[in-house]
Amino acid sequence: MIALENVGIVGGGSFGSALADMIGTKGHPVLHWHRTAEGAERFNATHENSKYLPGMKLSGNITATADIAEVARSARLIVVSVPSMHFRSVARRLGDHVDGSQILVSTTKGIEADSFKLMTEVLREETCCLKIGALSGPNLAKEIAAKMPSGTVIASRYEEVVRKVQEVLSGPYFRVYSNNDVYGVELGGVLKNAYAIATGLVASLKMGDNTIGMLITRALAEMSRFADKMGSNPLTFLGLAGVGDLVTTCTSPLSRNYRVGMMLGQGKTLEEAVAEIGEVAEGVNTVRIVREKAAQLGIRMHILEGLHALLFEGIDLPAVLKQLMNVPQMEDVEFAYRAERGAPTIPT
Amino acid sequence: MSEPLVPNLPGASPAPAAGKPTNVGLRLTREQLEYVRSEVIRRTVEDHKELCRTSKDLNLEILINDAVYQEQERLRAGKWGKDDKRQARFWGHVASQFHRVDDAGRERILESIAAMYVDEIMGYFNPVLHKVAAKVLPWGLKALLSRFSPASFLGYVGKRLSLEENLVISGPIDHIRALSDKATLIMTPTHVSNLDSVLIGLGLYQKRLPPFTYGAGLNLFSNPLVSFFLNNLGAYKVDRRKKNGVYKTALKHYATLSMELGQHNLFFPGGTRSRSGEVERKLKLGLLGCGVNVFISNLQEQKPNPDLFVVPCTLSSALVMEARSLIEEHLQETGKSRYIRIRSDYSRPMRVLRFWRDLQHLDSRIHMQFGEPLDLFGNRVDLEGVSRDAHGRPVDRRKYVEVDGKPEHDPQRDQEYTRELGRAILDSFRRNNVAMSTHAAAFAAFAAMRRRHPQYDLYRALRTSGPEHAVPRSELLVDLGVLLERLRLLRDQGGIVLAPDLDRAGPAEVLAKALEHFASFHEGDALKEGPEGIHTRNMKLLYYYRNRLAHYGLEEALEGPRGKEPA
Repeated sequence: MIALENVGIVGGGSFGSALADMIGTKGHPVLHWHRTAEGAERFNATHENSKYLPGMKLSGNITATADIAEVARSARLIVVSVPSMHFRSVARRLGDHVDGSQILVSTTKGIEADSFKLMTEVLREETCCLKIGALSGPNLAKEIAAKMPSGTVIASRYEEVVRKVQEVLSGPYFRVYSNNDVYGVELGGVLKNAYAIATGLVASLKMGDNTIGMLITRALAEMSRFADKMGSNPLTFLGLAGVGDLVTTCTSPLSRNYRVGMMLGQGKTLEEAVAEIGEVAEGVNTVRIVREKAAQLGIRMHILEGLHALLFEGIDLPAVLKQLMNVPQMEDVEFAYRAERGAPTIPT
Repeated sequence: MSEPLVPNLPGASPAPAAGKPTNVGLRLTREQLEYVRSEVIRRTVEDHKELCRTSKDLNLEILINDAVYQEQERLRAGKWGKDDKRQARFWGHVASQFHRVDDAGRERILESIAAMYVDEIMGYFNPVLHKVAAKVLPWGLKALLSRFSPASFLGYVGKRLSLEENLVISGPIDHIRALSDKATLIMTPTHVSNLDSVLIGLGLYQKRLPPFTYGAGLNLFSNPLVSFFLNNLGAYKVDRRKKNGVYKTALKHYATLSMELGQHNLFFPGGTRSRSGEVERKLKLGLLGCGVNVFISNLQEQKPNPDLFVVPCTLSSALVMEARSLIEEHLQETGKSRYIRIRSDYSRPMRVLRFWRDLQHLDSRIHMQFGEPLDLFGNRVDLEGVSRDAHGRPVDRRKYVEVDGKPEHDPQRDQEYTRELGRAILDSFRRNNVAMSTHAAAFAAFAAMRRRHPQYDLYRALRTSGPEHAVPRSELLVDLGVLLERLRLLRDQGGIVLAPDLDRAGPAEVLAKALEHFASFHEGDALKEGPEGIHTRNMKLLYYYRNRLAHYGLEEALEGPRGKEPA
């Protein structure tokens, strides 16, 4: 039997560990980078991520290490799964050791505040690697670790990246679809986090399923509008990385951002909610960053505006709701509407 | 079996393959030329056979049919020159034969088509003549560009144009010269005017950089004098009217072979002159993509100098001879404006003469600004030929193309690498764009005029010319002051280069210089001062010059929210 290649996973959070387990279960040796030597030793001793996936025994093919150079040396495919706020510094460390032959895949659904850069762009800037991709979709770490069937999207301009990721990740309970609209796929993963806060809030207030349905659909319209303006294909948002991820994140109590929204609905402050989650809820930052960008580009994003007012401007929920229900009523599916009339661009 | 079709065209008979020469300069021996010729034919035919093998919907008959159709359409639409008549006979012959023969016969027809193309494309470089041509060029430019006869040209020799003084060449020239000994260079300039290739040829000679072979438009060869200069400055012929796959493949293989032989190559990656006046924002990657193929082949053949490096070069000029016709074509292409056909400025000899005279009179400069050399993957390359990533860490280029430790071709991957390279070239173009007084004044004036009619879209605004839309001088100077401040900030960040006339001058000086330039060449149409204030008689021309500073984020300072520009 041919020995399978090493796969590197950079990041010891819940999603990194769930992926490591999935890949290890398929028989690949996995080198799992943790930020600290203690964390790596603890993992090697117990084969459990006690902080993020407590009680789940992970594959014996996983070896944890705190030496990122070792990961760069021994793996041809390296998956980077660290929170966006640490992403650049970790990518730079990785960049000291990769040589351009490796495939780098980001699973982080975040955005850099100052530069508005997405994570594959950070990987490109911080390393000499060019074969880069983004993995995104409705992928709640706990469900993946529990081996529940689900699917994801690997987005890359390089067919080699797509082939490799499909070969390593796809299996009896995980399907990997492809897309070459890297920016769109990443943006889908970023934007939905913000709207999950809104649906969590609405759900906690028991506003009803009609409200949730409308909110998710109009969120999708806002996301596509934004993506279109940023140069992505709005149709990407009809796929797993768009509507798939949005529906999951906006309806699942396993989603951190959704839980932040629920707590806000229960009367907690933003600080209390974030503290109680204990993990990074990317959506809170996303609201701020994307709202600023949308304002710069003149893109109308009413739900995002409402969220910003609620989270950062001290406006109460009834006032935000009133404002949202009074925005001008436009066409439902604006892309279809404009295509029909041959309009060259989507107005903002 | 039917007889193979070999139409009676010079050089159409297949040549015997010669031994493969390596590491030559631009001067090729007869044997080497024969080698290049036969290899272009062989590879072109092989590529098309492979295409037919891998595609269910293609065969040689369809491919030849397509070439015949496109060529006959081209010949029907174009002017009938001497060569066109011969080509019409050729294609008529092909059309009557290709469906009557079997696949072996079609292969021979394809061979003869490729042979005809390669004979047209191939240039002949003579180093002695190159030296002579480059020296004569400053005198001969006027004649060269105005399409005078050689006899008339001799009459102008005494009136030498001071081209050296008007051409400012900057950038890492020693660095480029050093790399030219270690690797094959691909020079990729921006394209502003029909004068560009001649100016670059001269600039390279002046800076003792090696000669580059380059593709020049076939139309430029129609004049025997021009043809003499171009052939001997290392040019080969490119006919942009030929759109069929066989021609494009032959052209690509010619460039590839030239690089394989170690000849330094030059091509305009924008494909054509910038119609809008903007610095290129999109590149045609076809020829550029040959570089990575050659690199991999060189590694596979273990050549001692397998590397190819790319040298971006931004050309900037305060005035552009063909500005009027270029912007008209741009607006026609964008499809939002009624097209008004006007004569090409380049076709008017007097205009060429006046342009050149004005340039000297105005003490104006054409800037040829080289960017840092790049490898084929978009990394910058240092003096020693080592690739460096964004943090200056060394990069082993071979790793990009290795599969299991061996260099391998992977067309899809390599195409993406070329896209990365394209991005790096575009970035270099922007950073090495030299902003001048005409650009800054046009930018500020255009913004001020648009502010007067915020309800107008761009195409309506382009029709607001005349003194009734004038901007008060004081208002324009305030805008120009703001713009200069932003430009200097951008320059400090390495985002643009400022010409000396913008570097330290105040808004009034910049405006005066711009008005002087515009008054001289465009008869004040672009920008003019009158009792009503500063106005334009041709908003499109003003738009053309302001576009040189578009997409730097400068719009915000003068126009409010971004995103209002046409695509």
